Amino acid sequence: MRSLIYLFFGSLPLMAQDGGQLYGLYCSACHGADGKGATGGQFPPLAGSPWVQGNAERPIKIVLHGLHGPVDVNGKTYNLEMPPQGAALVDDNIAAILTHVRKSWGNDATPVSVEQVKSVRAATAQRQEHWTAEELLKLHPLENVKPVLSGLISYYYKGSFQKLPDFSKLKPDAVEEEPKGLIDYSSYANTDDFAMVWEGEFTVKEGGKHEFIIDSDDGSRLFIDGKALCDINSVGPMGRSKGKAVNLQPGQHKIRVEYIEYKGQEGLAVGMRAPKQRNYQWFTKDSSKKGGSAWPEIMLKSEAGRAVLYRNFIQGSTARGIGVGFPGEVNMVYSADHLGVEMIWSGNFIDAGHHWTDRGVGYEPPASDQVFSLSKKPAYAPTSDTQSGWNDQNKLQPRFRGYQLSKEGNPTFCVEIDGVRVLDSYQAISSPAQGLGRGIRLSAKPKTPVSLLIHQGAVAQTQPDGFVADDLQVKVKGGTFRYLPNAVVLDLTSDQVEIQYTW
Amino acid sequence: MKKTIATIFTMILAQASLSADEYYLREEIPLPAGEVMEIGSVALMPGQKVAVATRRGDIWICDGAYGADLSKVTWKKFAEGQHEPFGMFWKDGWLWMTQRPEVSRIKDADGDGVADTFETICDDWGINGDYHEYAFGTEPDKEGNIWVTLCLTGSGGAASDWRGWCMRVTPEGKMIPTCSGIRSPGGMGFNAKGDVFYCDNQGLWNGSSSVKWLKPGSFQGNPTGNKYHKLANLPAPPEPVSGSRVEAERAKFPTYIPPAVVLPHGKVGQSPTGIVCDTTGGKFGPWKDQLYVAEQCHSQIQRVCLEEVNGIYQGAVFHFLEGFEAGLIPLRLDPSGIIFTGGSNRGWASRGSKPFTFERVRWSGKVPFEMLTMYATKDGFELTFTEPVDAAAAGNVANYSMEAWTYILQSGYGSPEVDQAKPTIKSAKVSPDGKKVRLVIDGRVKGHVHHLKLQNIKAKSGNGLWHPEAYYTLNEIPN
Repeated sequence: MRSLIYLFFGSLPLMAQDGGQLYGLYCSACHGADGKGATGGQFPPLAGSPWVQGNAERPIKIVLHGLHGPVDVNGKTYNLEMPPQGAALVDDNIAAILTHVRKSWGNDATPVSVEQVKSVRAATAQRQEHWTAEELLKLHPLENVKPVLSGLISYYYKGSFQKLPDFSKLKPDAVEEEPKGLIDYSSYANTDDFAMVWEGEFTVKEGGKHEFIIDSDDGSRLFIDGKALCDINSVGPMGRSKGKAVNLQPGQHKIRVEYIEYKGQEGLAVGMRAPKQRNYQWFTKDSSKKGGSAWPEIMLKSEAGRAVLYRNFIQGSTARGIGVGFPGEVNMVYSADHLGVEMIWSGNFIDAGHHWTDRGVGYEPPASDQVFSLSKKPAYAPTSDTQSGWNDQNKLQPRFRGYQLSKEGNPTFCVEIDGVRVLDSYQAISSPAQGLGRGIRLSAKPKTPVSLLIHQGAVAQTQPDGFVADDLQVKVKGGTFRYLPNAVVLDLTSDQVEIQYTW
Repeated sequence: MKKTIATIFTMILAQASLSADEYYLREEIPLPAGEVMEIGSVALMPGQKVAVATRRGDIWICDGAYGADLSKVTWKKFAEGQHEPFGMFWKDGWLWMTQRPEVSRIKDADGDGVADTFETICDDWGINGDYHEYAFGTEPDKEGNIWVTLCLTGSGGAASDWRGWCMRVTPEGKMIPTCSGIRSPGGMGFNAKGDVFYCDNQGLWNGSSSVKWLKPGSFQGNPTGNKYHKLANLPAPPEPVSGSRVEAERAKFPTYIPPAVVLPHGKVGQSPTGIVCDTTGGKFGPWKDQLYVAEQCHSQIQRVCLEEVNGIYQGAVFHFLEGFEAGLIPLRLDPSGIIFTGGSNRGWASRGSKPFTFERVRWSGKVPFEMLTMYATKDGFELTFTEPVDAAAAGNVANYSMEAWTYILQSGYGSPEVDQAKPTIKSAKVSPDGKKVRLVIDGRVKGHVHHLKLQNIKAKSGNGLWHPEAYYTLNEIPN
């Protein structure tokens, strides 16, 4: 009886904070009652996650200060903001919650004591900002994470390659073992003009159809068990992924990856999706967004001959961007901050997948390589201020008044300057060449002469009725345009101006 | 054995009598097939049509959402490409909306059923491309102004003009800075008198989420966006001391208006959003002039009973409706007594496991046995019930318990419950008609949340309480 009473009271401190209950209250909305991440794994799982097991300092720090930016958990990248809980949860709450997390859903790690939380809190008391995954991994690398690839060897070749070479005829400049088991081109100093090959092995647990994917900047080729599976054999950016499925038996399999980096940015993603798995496992430091790791592609397109409109953060313009995708793959972005067209591009309009997944962080670039930048400055200024250069200390205080759409969805933007309305219309044209037509009309003559910035940057060729800049042919009808250093300006003296942008 | 069966049977009956379905009928409104309808705004239109705006920026008009047979609902896409509108209403042939970059109004001028005219009314606030710089807007107030709350940058900074402020936008597009101190709004609404309230979410300088009163000229507690007072030559808002309490700081700064009703974090939701006032005159139950507050994370609707004491709003929150299919964002109440709500759990998870939803709730006509109101008195609280109580149970102080606490006002994220107190129920006096109970309480604490729990209290009819708890924020003690 005595020992029973002792046991009962002895267990009280543990019962005082019910980790499971606290987890349900504070954590489960996002991480799921089952630890697998809420709403079908949209949020990072804690079950089976190496982040919450091993060294307890790592999860304690995340709970105290939150986590910002992308984090890879078991082969999937998440980019949500974990809010800091250190000010909301006291030390014994955090200890109880983490102890629960580290012993639940198959997790098996040591309990977390109040003292541990207290000491980490004291040691990080000065910290104001969230942690990033990168920062935490430097301090506390994940334990017991088996290298994805075993026996990995890298071969490095100097040279300027625009196509994948026959590597059997080349002699490597360096050969290294890669005990981390991760394909990573950045282990060599060069960022331009090189090629690499990696060879290693991976384990298949469950036999069946395995989907492979590669994506690279620039070229790459994937071999499984000695057979070439797919390649990207040209210079170009990430986002040109190729994939193929193969039936694999349980056991060890060979992988070989060839890679060339010509100039500029670099990237290499090689992934495998095992049978019944939702996500790709990445053999590389990088992952491909086409591989489903970050967001799905949602390419916006004009439909039924009608332009599609997209107000959002478009890279190369301002936060009040208004993208318009016309039929015939002619696209533009109008800035409702600067009040003018800022970029024109041909090809695909824009991939909304980034903005429409999770919280929609950041600016999205046009979904095309052929982009013409027109300007990045406030588009209207008093003519008197623009004699020697474009003065963007905007004295006119123009106001954006919205837009009208024609039946075809073509927009006419409206800007009001001192009681005068400037109507700025856009539509796709196909003659004299593919391009964008623009019409500018004024509701009245402005009291103070007004000028419009129609191009910012160097002009390659001047013509009587227009100019060429950046491979873009610009023709102006009905208005007077002037050249300033690094700018072309239209004085709004005529009440009707037509501009054609063709390429 | 027989007895056991009887007991189980009674238990099932007892449970059934407390099921929400008996009082409120929640129904999912079918959405257009194949569309992602993450609803951020709902607007009631003439002819029993309902417009919704999605977080992707589409605007759809629904016909049939009031009908008996929801399978007959039809949808028509009205516009696309808007930037996350949170607040939309219909006025004089236009759909007005508050979207991330601006207040706009749109209409179909040529009558082909699709919007063609998009007017920008006001875009005088800053946005910089940060996803958190949301703008939430109200329906028009008595003067026709739209009230807009501007979320902080990343919810912790103020990198663009007027972040952390509430603005009034006149129908002509003039922007009037109205309140400072805002962190991360989730929705806005009016009370019956026409005063404006918004929900601010737990985080920096915000120990728990709450319903706050946007008194013109007031400071709401988060000083991050204070610097923008200079843009309009307004007086500098208060700079509270981190680590203090709301009660202590508002004693120093007369413009600091405390949260009207704290929604204790985790206990009564944790991401409050839309607000509506029940002005249906009894078509949605007996909760005349009370506020309903939607909740994203817990997929619920709470009920708030407000009162004004010494010129400050305060009151109680009660659990009300739950089990919605996704995280709720907008809330609208049709005068005929139908709640329309919708939501999304993109980026912020919710108990409702669907990625998005559109739902309506109607009252069955049956009144649950509930605390109808809870008001502060000089020496305690007065409860009104929806039907006469069993006087013996309700007159027994042992059937009531109370705890009180507050939160730290601090620059860090959220706060634990602190400064716990245990007020004592001294007496419980039942009114002659059995509908009111007057509690005399020792040890209430000004500024604290007072959590009242009722046990064993039944109606005279034998009905059990649907929700036996209330959380009252005691900003002021009546004289």
